[in-house]
Amino acid sequence: MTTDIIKTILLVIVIIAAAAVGLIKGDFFSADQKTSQTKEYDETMAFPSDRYPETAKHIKDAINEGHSEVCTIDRDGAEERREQSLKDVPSKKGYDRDEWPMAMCKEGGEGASVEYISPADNRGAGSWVGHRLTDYPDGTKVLFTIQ
Amino acid sequence: MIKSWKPQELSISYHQFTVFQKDSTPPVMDWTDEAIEKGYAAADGAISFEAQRNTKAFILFRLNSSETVNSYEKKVTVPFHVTENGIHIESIMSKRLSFDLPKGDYQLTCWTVPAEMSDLHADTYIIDAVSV
Repeated sequence: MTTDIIKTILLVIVIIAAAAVGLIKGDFFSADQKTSQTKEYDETMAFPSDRYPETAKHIKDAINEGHSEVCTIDRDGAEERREQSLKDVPSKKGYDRDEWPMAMCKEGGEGASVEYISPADNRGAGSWVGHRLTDYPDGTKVLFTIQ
Repeated sequence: MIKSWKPQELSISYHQFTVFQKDSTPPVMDWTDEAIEKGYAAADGAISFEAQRNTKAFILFRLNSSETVNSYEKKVTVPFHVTENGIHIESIMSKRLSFDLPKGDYQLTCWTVPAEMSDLHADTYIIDAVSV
């Protein structure tokens, strides 16, 4: 009888400890659950922060602020969205204006996050993204994560 | 062979557009500070030219043209090899332009003509391919 009680207590302790560890690490709210919560997407893109740190930080900050982490490709609307997102952000010598969500994404446009980024970082990042997405047709939903 | 293609519209993003081999994918370009200073980056048989502004622009492609460009902001010349007949030009996630440039070695010169200097009233990039 006493052994059963001890076993039960130990089991409860193990369950509570596991739950606490899960909460601390954020496992309960990341990965699978987040994926199913957020959205539908067709492809994933792990953006390399070691290669393009400034652009990666901007993407991460913008997503944390509530901007979409999914980009629905829509090439035709890019020009108009870029005009909307940059209208109140003047160009600055020696910097590029990086938008998140990008202008090519349906989620971009007015209200997009815009950050001044060094040209080497931003243009390399653009080339990297273009290389990976160029064959995807309009309408493809791409989930971005920061690696 | 002398040829001039009609101007084609291209939506510029990330201050660049890439000339690359037909039926291939534009490679990842390493835009170092030196590449930005020179106005172009190169990798895997492709060349990316710097574009001044992210906006709709015209690409005017010419082969062995003797016409001069009188007003321009910047001029960049680089060697380029066409491995099979044909090349593409695109910016980041733009539409893809195609030109039936014959296989061979060329000097590519990209003239940047801002909208205020262009007869087309939009940023214009004249690309002269000269056979070598």
